Amino acid sequence: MKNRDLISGIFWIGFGAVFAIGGLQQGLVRQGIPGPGSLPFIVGLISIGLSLVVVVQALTKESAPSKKFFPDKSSLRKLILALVSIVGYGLLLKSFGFMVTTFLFLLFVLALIGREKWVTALSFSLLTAVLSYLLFTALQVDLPRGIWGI
Amino acid sequence: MDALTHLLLSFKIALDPINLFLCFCGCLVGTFVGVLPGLGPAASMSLLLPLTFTLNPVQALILLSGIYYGAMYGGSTTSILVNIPGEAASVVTCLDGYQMAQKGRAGPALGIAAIGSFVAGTFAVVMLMVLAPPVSSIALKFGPPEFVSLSFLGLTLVTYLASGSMVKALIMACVGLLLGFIGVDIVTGVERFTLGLTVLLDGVGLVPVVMGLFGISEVMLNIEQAYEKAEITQTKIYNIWPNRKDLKDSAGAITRGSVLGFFLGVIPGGGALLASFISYAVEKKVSDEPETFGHGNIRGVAGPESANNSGAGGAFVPLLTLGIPCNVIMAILMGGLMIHGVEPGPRLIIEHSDVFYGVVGSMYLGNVMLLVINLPLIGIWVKLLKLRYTILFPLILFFCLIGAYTTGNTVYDIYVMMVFGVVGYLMKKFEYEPAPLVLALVLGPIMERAFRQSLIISSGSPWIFITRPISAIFVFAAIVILFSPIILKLIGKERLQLKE
Repeated sequence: MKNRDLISGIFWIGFGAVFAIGGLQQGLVRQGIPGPGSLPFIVGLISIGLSLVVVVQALTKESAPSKKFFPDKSSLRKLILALVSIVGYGLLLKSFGFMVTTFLFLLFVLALIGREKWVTALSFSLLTAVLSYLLFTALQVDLPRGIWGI
Repeated sequence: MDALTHLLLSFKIALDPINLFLCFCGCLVGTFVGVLPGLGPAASMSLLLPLTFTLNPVQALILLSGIYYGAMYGGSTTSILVNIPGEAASVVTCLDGYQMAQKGRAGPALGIAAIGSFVAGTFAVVMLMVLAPPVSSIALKFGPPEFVSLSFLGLTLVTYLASGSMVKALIMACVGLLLGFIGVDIVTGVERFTLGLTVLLDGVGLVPVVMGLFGISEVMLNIEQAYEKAEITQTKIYNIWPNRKDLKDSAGAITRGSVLGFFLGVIPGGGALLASFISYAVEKKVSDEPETFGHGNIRGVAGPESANNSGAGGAFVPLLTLGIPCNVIMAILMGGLMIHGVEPGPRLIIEHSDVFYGVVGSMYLGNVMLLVINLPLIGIWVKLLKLRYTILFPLILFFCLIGAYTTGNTVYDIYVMMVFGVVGYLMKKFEYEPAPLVLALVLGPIMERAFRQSLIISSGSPWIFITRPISAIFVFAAIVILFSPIILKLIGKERLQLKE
């Protein structure tokens, strides 16, 4: 865990610093009582201190070597595809509407990440998209209709 | 009102047809979630949170808590039959439960798990009903300074009991607090850390964060593995009812598990998970034949399964009486209640007695329903396990997307969820615990308000937290816990030197 502790420790130092500095700018004290920046400043400082402990420990302590970051050679590809599919859902939802976007999303994920057969992927996504549309409409959940009104 | 009127009131609310139906739905969904590996109660409760917006607070809490204790029940099934814990609190059940199944005793193992869960669940509800009113009447005397120190103590306990490095857990608690500061400051109206984004004015939403950390990241960790065909052994379940000897053997374990589980559930950071582990250790200690544990000893199933259900009930005590969530699930319930305008805390039982007694009543009934849902329908639940992960994970992702979107009807919550999905994935790789972050995120804004109110009372002097006796006790206890690892280390070293 040595390197990973070092990296994460440094990251949290930066994270804490953002809030500590921000807190300083927003004002620590207003009219004798703590202002809006007081707690972010204090907690930011504490997290910087704690992260320093992690960094120092990573530099000084011997520890077991960490596991491989990605367990499989296809890992990174699948992870990226998953994130792309989520962003895609967010981008398309308003204009394409709930049912179409859901269908495309499921098709993409099933076929490209899950490597299901196209027939399976196609029928499963179509069925899920239509059924969930009917279910959510029945439950009166407000979902975007998109340019085609569905 | 005396105990009997309370009991009648709780049943009156719980037996309302809609509440009864919601309780049943909660138990059903909970069992489903408990059986399915890869979708825990935390993620699924936050998924359903938006659906509860149209309900009233009583109905919402009945539905959501049903999912929680339902999942505790359902988790045991997969542990016993296929050695896959459906959720974390059932991990220890695998040890002896699966061994029993291998020896053809899957039926009695499932039976005793259900009986133990039922007994323990009912015990926990009774205790909740007895303990909560006096605890909250004490807590009513707490002012803002006491609340700050109590939350501080609670967060400290959570980090202390977190698995792995305590320093890292503390960092997570700080990160949660810092994220909680994002948004408009409630005292002065100043915008803080919003990066100019209007969506962040209300702060970082709990639902997308929880779904990211517990739903999306779990999917990411699963899909990055090479796919393998899951082997599910076909075990025929002959007889669910344990025999007389089994019952006699397990009675002690169930009793100990129920009591132990409840009190461990009350402690912040404790809850069902810790309860099941400790119960297993205790059963092994008190047994005449500890060597049979891990080879299908029925007590190794009865104890932990009782403890995790009882712990699930116990965790409600601090939430409903003090407004302190003990674990992530309670944090979600708290978030859910606050959306409905009900702030959990000492005033809850007085001001929203229908919420408190309604939930208690539904928990009595829920425990009975779970027996009915679980035992006769076990065949159906096992079939669920045959669902391929390549079919399952797109559905989990889809539910998360819908859940995130419907919380605020904005796609930004989808992106927030995704960011926290990646964060949760990295946290797993870098060995950080997500639980302290979530608890701090929920408690943060309330703690900050109380903190600043306290300092207004004391006109700026921080000594107010130590000069008020109750607050001083909490602060002292928290400091002892914070420094206990260092103190223990020092004592340990001294002992070593003495030996030499």
